[in-house]
Amino acid sequence: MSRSSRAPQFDFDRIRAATSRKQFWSSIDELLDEQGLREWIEAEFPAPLSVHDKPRRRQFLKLIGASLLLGGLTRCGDRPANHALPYVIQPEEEVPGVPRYYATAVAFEGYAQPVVATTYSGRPIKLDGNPDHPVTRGTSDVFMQSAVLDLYDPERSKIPLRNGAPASWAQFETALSGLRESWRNRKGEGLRILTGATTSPTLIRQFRAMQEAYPNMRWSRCEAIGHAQQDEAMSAAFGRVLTPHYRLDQCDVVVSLDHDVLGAGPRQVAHAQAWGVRHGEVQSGLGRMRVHVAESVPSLTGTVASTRIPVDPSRIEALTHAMAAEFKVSGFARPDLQPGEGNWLDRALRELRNSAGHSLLMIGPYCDPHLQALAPAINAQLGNVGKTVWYSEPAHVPDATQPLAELTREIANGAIETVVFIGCNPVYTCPGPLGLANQLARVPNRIHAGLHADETAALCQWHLPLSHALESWSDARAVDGTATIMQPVIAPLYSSRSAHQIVDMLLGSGANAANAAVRETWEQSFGEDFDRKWIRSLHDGFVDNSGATAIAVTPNSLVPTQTSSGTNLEVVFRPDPCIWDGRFSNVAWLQELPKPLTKITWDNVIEISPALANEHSVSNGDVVEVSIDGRKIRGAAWVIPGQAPRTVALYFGYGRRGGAEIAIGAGYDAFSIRPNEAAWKATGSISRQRGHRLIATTQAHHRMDGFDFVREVSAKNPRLPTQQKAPTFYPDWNVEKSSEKNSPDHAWGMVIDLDLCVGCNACVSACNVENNVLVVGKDQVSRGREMLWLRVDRYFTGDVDNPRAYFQPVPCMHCEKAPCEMGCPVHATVHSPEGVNQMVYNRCIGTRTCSSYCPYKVRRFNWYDYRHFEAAEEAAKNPDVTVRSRGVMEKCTYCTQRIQAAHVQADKENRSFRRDEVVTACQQACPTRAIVFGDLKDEDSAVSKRRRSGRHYVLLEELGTRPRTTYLARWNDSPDEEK
Amino acid sequence: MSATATSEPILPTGQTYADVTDQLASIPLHFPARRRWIIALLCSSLLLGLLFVAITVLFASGVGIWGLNIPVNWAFAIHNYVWWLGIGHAGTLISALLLLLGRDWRNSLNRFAETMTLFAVVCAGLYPILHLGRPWFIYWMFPYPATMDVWPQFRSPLEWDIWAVLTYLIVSIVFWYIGLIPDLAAARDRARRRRWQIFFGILALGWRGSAIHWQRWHHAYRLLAALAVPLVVSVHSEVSLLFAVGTIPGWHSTIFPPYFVLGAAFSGFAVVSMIAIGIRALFHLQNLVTDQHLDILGKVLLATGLMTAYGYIFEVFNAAYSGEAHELQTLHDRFFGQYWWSYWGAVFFNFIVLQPLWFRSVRRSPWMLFTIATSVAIGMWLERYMILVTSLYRDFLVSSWGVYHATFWDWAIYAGTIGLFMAPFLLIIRLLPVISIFEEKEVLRREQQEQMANA
Amino acid sequence: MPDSDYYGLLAEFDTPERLVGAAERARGAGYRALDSFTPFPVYEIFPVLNLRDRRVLWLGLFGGIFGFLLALGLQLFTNFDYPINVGGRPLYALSAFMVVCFELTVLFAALTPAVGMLALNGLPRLNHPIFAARNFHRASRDRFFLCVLASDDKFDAKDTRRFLEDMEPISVELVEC
Repeated sequence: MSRSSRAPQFDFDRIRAATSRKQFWSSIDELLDEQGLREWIEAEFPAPLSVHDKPRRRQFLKLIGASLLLGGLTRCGDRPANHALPYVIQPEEEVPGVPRYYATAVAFEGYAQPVVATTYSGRPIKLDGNPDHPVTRGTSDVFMQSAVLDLYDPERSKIPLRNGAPASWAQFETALSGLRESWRNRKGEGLRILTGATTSPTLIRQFRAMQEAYPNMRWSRCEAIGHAQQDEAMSAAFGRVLTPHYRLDQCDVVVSLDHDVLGAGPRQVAHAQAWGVRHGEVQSGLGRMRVHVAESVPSLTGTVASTRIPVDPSRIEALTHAMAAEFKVSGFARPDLQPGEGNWLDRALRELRNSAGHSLLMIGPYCDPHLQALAPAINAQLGNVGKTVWYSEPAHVPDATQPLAELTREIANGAIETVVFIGCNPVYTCPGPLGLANQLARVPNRIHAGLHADETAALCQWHLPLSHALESWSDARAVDGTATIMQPVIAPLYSSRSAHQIVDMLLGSGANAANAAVRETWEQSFGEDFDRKWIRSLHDGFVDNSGATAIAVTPNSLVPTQTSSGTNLEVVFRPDPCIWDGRFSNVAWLQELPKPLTKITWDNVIEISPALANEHSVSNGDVVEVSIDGRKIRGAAWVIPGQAPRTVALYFGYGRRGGAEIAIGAGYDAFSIRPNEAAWKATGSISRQRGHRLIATTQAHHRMDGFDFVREVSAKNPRLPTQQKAPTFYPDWNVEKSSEKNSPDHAWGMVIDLDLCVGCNACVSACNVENNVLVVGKDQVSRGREMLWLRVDRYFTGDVDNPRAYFQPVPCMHCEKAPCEMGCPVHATVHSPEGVNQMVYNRCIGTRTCSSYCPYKVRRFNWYDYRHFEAAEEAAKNPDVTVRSRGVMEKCTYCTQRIQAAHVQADKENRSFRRDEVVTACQQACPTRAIVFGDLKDEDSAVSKRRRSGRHYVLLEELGTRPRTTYLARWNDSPDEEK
Repeated sequence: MSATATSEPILPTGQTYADVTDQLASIPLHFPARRRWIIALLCSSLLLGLLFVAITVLFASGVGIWGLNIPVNWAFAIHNYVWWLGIGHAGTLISALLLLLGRDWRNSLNRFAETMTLFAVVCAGLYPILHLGRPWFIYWMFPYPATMDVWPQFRSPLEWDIWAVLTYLIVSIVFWYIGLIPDLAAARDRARRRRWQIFFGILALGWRGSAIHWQRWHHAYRLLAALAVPLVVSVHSEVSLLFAVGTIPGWHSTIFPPYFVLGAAFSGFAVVSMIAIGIRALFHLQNLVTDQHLDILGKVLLATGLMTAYGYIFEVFNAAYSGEAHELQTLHDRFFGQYWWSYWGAVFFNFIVLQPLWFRSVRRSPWMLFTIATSVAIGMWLERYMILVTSLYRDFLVSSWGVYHATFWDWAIYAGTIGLFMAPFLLIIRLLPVISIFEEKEVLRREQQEQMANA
Repeated sequence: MPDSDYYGLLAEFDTPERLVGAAERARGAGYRALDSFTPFPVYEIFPVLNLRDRRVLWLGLFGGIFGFLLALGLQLFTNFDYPINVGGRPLYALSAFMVVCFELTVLFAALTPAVGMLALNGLPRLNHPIFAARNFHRASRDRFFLCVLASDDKFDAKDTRRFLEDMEPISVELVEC
């Protein structure tokens, strides 16, 4: 039936009335007495028989899986997979089942994400931040966590392709030799090489060499997201490209104009960490950190900010100009602002000035360069430079802002003879108007090297499989400039080569050892005593003191520009928080990871403000069409409370046409209507279309008056009221007593500080990887069957146009009076002496009583045999954790395998546990240290300390389940809470 | 002596022992109404076939074929289990409780009421197995020395249920068969064809109606009846604990055991009435299942219905009186939420439609009683659904709220169990005396004595 | 004197009342080994024939006690044998155990008398001399039989037959072993 015909109408007076008083609610639908939801439900159970469909990928995986597994074991690219052999002579020090750890890095937008890889028998199964590295300090983000699955992706390209047909490297070499000849003759005229952004000293060195060999060739770096605009702004401000580094841990006041400093991206971990240092408990003398955000699209930063106003991009511009005017930046006048904006701005200014030297003004990297260029000047005036922000030479190689535009222009002029794409997919990420896809055919020689045979590969004569970062030697610099020498933790699974090897081939310097190029680079910089430094760097995972150094610079005066008048409808582009620009499209873990703010999986949506939804009478899932100067895309609308009224947000990464089997057909392709590479906003129009799309969210829920799942404290009353005891027949309880009964030694517990949580999902993906949590696909998620052991709940309170939002991670509570255990007839879920609520998979018969009785609904059930989905990913599985089969209940175990490992270690060394020795996966990943796990019997353990905090509270305490997982209330820093 | 018996005879006293015996024993021996019976059996066999298909698919791919999810991970399987079990209870109550109370009129109904119990319990008993994620491990719920030295968990309501239902099934079968023996003997002695003589001869165990046999039989039968009554109450109380033990709002209430038991009797008597009317029409037994019987059934139906209604009212009172936010939320959801139709549907089919039973003429009109009984069966089905789903789909944390919608396979298995109930029931009424012969003769004798006394 | 060639003499009556009357007279005449065969229990005749066997009821009682102890023992033992913390509930949660205790009590209290009844009655026994009697098939229909067993001390094929015929039964038949 056509749902569009009966689409619910938003009645916003009702919504405002409903949201006027403080109450929790979480999606627009719930404010409409579930009208919209009914639509969603109809979509949820279309035809009885369709219950059966499995994602298209399943068959494919079945076929590919076995061969991949063998391929993985042979650990040698060119040998046919069917020659897999077990160890004949077991290598020394290689004990099966005992993990080995290697420090290396994976690259993200050219920046090194320094990691420690856990490998079993030569199989990397988990990456975590390198604890010694100044940037990660052991924490991680979703991309780093999921990189393993990218490595084991069954759809990675495995051998070279010539016009789509299998070929060999030898054939490519012969083909190449002819090309090299002509390059040499024409001095590289007509040779264009495109790579992704890079900070790799080796690659840079190689390309310099190449430039010498072929002087007229051009090498450009194209990043769909990148920070080209920031570079432009910097060169506007300083005359040359510099990289700004924020030190949020030094800030008392942060003012952000559309800058999601905590959001996904290469710098997320670094920023979130620094932010976390400053948050949580009030540090003596420093008081609370204040964050004031004005943004067009709700973001993580906005969610945790003290004050936040939603303003359209054009108004951001106005605010920035006003800001500049206030700081007497020559030529800027304060435009007239609306009262809300004015008040916000004045408070921001006041606080910036009051804590000059400890304040920071940030202007978003997606704002126009001439706006961003103002930030340095203002921060300089505030004397923040060197304290809360410092500048360094860029680690990456800056580039013309629009390499693709340039390329297409040259192609049009027929100036290009050969184009080589290495590790980038411009045909997909190229803005539609440039029409690269149509132009490319006019280039005689087209070569593509990448992890996947993607859209670009499809248009090239040659496609070369690129080795994954974990398979190859390379190097790169982290966001702070510190260099990491990336060593392979597994031999190439397929007949693939690294970028360095391919560049060597282009140079004709012959096929060298895999690490030759990298060694060469560092031999130059290490000089004598190379071996020691080389070994050391490999071992540590980074090169000592290779970090960027602050340089003293003064911003130039700027030429003021006119504020663009607010247009009718402003379309902004954003990277997808889970699959970025589509480079992770094929990583199922990331596809099924709920987007932090919408909890949507497997899709991107067109995000519109409530006001706009009202105007066009669309509700969640309705198909809308966005058009920008004639180009159109259609997608499902999603109403985002707190989005700027006239703003439409489009997300990149979906609408894939190739190279990502599991993502094909999902969502829309925002690149196709992006005006140009530099464009992060455009003016366009939106119109309601017939039809409704099923969007799979992990959280679709309703008005919730008066409940206090997330509690808050404020400067006014910094302690939560102590729970007055309800009359009960149970004996009084305290940790010691209850756990004396259980165990003499330990009582495991977890405390999650809601003031530190920025909802970045790192914990969730870490949990997925550590515990072999299964991917079930969009269909199952839409039926409410996602498998996440740890979910991050997201609530709203207050005004629908600018609500206050909350994150609340919810793992198993490990109740001491667990209702679930009572219900199980076969002892399949029981309590460990140390107070862990255990799940015995192989005893479970699937009565699901435990889940019915669980007040927190943290248990997950294997409705089908979901293991089908992961035949290809066997190699990525954690051998210490059972892979659950059909008909079995599962849930968070406090990473019991880690607790046991610690026990074994302690017993071996004949000692008791060290303080906070056991670390759960979620805790380890969390960049803000929001999650703390440990022994409640140890008075001085981190978790015990938190339990004594005035902000400590228990979720649903009235039920008397006595959870071991508890929370610290979030601070409410908004001004109205203080008076 | 029972009031009903004195006021006016339940059975026409004109007939003799011989008439009653021959009439009833001849039903299996010279079966009337073959065509209608065959058609009925055919339909129920089709449903039975559907059940087998559905179960095959279920076992092949898993409970995912149902509409279940987190939070609603219990639905059709559990609530149909409760519904079927409830229906079963009426059979036992009629035949045991009324026997102890010396209500003669039950003698016309108890046989097929008990038969109904048997197959209702079989249908119910099937569900807990189908419901499991790994049904092939059902035996883990029984205590046996396992290799891993692990035993069942006796604090779990599910564990209680297994014992309760099995006990109930066994006791029902024994009670039914003990009561059947003398009639089997009667049928044996009426049988002329060899086949039948052997069939009944073996089943009758050589019963010959000797005085001492009768005495011991009498002791055993009475004792069983005395045990069956508390058993029924306990069984459905335990079923209710399946919910009441959970902390979920809308479940966690002490009203549940009586509420469930009464509801069970209510739905059961409804189905008994339907079957009574059906059989009486099928075999022309107006002289044995009289309007008087329908009248009484109608009264019982009305009474149990009103008691169940009290349960509804008290539930609302409970939530309101507790003032507990989540309880109130659940109450609100029941009234106006996603599944409002299940609540108001239950109220309508159970109580509104019930009201005409205040009138004697309605109670005595077979087709009206039949309609009302059907409506009650539907209403109680809705009630079970409501209690289960409206509590689960929105419990404490709003973030985990979800929705449930039954899929084709949910319905297929439910329809299938109706076949599983009907088919064997039809076979039984084809093969065995459908109404207790000797007990009818007892009633006849008592009434004839009274007539003479009055005359 | 007892006669081992015969099972007994069978007198057929058409109403329970006449059967009871006959039985009383037979007792009066000193017959002790008497039995009656009726289509439904005729309670008045039990005292007349001096039947007082309550063993079935005792069986029920013992069965119940056995069932209760079995269930309690089972649950206590399993928790003793596999002691583990389940939801922080007591290991020996008697209140929770009572449910299964009750069930097994009922189960055995029901099974023992049922089985006991058949056993004491010597059933199943598909062949019995009495079935040879010409009209006996009506014992399950509408006739009420009084039987003087051949094992009776006063039994005499001729005298006893004459004695029975005095009571004008519908028929009298000598049943052979």
